[in-house]
Amino acid sequence: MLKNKIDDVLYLVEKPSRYIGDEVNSVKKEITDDLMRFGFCFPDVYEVGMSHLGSHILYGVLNEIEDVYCERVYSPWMDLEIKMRERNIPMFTTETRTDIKEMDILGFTLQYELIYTNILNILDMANIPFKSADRTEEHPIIMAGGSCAYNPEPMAEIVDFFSLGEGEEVFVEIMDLYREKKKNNWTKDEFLSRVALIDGIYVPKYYDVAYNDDKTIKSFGPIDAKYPETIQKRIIEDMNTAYYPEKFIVPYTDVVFDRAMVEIFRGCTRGCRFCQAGMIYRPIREKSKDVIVETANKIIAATGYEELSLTSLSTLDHTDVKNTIVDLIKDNADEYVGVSLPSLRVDDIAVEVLQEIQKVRKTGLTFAPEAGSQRMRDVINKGVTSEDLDKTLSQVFGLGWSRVKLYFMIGLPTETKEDVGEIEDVGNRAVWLYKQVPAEDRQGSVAVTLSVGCFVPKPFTPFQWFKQNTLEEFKEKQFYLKDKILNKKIKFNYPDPKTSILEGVFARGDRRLTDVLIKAFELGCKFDGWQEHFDYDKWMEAFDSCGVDPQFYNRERSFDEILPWDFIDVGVRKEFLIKEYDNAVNAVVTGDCRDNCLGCGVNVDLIGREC
Amino acid sequence: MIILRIKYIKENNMKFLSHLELIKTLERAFRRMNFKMAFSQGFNPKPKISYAAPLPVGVETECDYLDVELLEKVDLKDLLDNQKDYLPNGLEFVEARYRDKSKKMMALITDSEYIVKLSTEEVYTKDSMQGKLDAFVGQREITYEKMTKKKKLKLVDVKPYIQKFDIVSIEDNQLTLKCMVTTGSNGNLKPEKLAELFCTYAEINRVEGKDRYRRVALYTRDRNKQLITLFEV
Repeated sequence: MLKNKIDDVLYLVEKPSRYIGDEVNSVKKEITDDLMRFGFCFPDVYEVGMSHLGSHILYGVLNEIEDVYCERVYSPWMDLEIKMRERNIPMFTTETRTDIKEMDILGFTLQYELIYTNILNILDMANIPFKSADRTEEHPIIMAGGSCAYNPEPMAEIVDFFSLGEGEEVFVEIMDLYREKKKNNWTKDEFLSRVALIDGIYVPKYYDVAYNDDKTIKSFGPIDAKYPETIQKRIIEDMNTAYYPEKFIVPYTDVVFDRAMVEIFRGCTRGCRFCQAGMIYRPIREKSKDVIVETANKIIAATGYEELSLTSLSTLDHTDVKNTIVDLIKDNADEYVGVSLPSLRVDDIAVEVLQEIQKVRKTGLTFAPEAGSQRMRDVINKGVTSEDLDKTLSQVFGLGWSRVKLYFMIGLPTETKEDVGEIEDVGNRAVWLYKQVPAEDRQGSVAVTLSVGCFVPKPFTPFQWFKQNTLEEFKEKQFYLKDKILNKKIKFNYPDPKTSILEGVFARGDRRLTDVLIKAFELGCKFDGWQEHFDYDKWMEAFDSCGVDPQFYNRERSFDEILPWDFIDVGVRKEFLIKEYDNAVNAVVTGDCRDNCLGCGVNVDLIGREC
Repeated sequence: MIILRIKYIKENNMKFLSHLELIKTLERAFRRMNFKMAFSQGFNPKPKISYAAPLPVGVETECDYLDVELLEKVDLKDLLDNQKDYLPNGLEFVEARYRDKSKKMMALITDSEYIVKLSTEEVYTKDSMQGKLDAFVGQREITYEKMTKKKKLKLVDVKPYIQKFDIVSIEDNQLTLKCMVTTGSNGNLKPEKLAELFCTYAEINRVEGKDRYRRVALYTRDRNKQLITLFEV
């Protein structure tokens, strides 16, 4: 009945194919009473969710377990949501169109702070109370993971338990325990008190927080000594033997990353000081060339994709990347399967690799110098010089590219007006470099896009103590740049800094934000990550009515303050972050830690080995 | 040059695919089937596949055709026998034949036949409905104002484009019709438009969002203007 109701509604909405499921390689299972049903929720639209590699991996991990059926759940776009609410259609799973309230566990992946209201929307559309305390035994257990879970506190009263770190192994352990729950008829509490003892699991209700008069945290800890004081993230030690799906789901509609994805390593050794991913995904763990090539070829065979993307942080840092790409191209060029890479660092290897890649298909090019001035690049430990930039751009222009996108940030610590201004210089320089290419080698007119984001300090980075720029400061810098850029060949892209401010609040937020979040949702906030739906005024109204000052979360913090996420151990030691903070302020470059161990502690503490 | 002509069904969930999504879905299916497809030249090579008559989102078909150009022949029995392993549910190949290079199919199509299901607000008897239908097709001309490409309104008479228009069944408020309409460059009438013109003329109120269309035949014409299928060309 629900299935037919949904079918009728799909005739009336935009891009219905994103809701039908039934894609090649999606999993079908017979529904039995023994089956543990898991709703894997990506609280954004299908096109975004399907582009997220981690979801594909965990979908595979869960469905490999015989008595587990993992189905996907995405946020419906506004037009469908309206129809669903009109016709009393509850939130449903993509695979079987089942009411998500019938799932045993709903797992939300937290990929960016600005989708938290969408989580509430999904729960609301399923008639599930927001707060853990208000839910009964009849409701599914709500869990969450993903990069934002490293500061779980803003969602602490909503989520029953968080999984920190890489999920391949811990998901199996969670489901093993859930099987026991089913068998023994445990209550939720009986389950949660046990799941809290699994490494990497955080059950917020077993932890208490007290505050000082100045609203900073006075103490934080477990309510019972049996629960761990600190929770260490989980990692997979050997990527070569780790689970990796070959039967990727092939979407019908155009998704954001509509291509085969092969992860080639985890972690990053570059040590960029602004970069949360570079800290939380440590240590570096590579897959071997043979494993990558074999996996890639299997994925192509199982999906029929026409493009293959190698994914990781700083992809070209893989020690055998050139040979890997050469092999992949050799294997696939006859079938016109192209190979693409995410944004590139600015260095020599990029050019060599690009020469290979363009043999099949020519893709757009994005480079990330991150900052305009050399001083700022030293502050953030980017390790890229102006000479590197010049050389790389000259070479790619010489190879026939005429369009490049350059990615920067403003609002970085110690930044001056001059530093911001130099972003424009980089753009001009790129245009000038293009004109140095002999006319006969040029392909059309040059187009340089300067994409300039607003910096958000994130937990577990050396910049976690820094004060974020205010709205006014961001705007002033954006206008300054906008006025300064006169070159017609340069396009200037910049976001509304209001979204960055809100992101900053939630990134470094604490439990007191749960009520703000619920209030904002009640006022109508959702899809906050979509500029056209983001309503800053409503958010401010929500903060106001909850008596919470957003500035409190964006302020500068002292090294001895208890941070809301201090009880989580990502493997990178606090002393290291403080040392790097000092280096940043003094514009000292420490460089890639492959060549020069900086003692972050991740290998020693997490795996028990030297780097 | 090897050209494989395939007649296919697109139904159930697959009706929600747009034409562009269908193209992508079939390209990927052919890759999974290990087809050695011929590709276009240039920066962004595309396999050479052409389609007879693109359908709008929501419309099913049991009779559409595509031509795919191959570098190596595939075994057609294997293709039909094993297709389920490669195609999503709702897409099915009914028939496949190798053919000589021919005119683009899109230019060949002259007629198409549809089953049209409408939900009416009132319940009609078959006789009264037949009366309405006879009166509708019996008009001297059936006209509407069409927006031209130059954004001007132009009166068109679609009566010559209605080859057949019959009642299949009436059950409660479910009216099922069958129509054959002219399709292609020498005149084109969409079944959605025909249903709209008929309902407006006969003062039939439809339940909104409940029209269902399914293409059941696609034809071209031979030298004697007789209907033939695209395999008979």
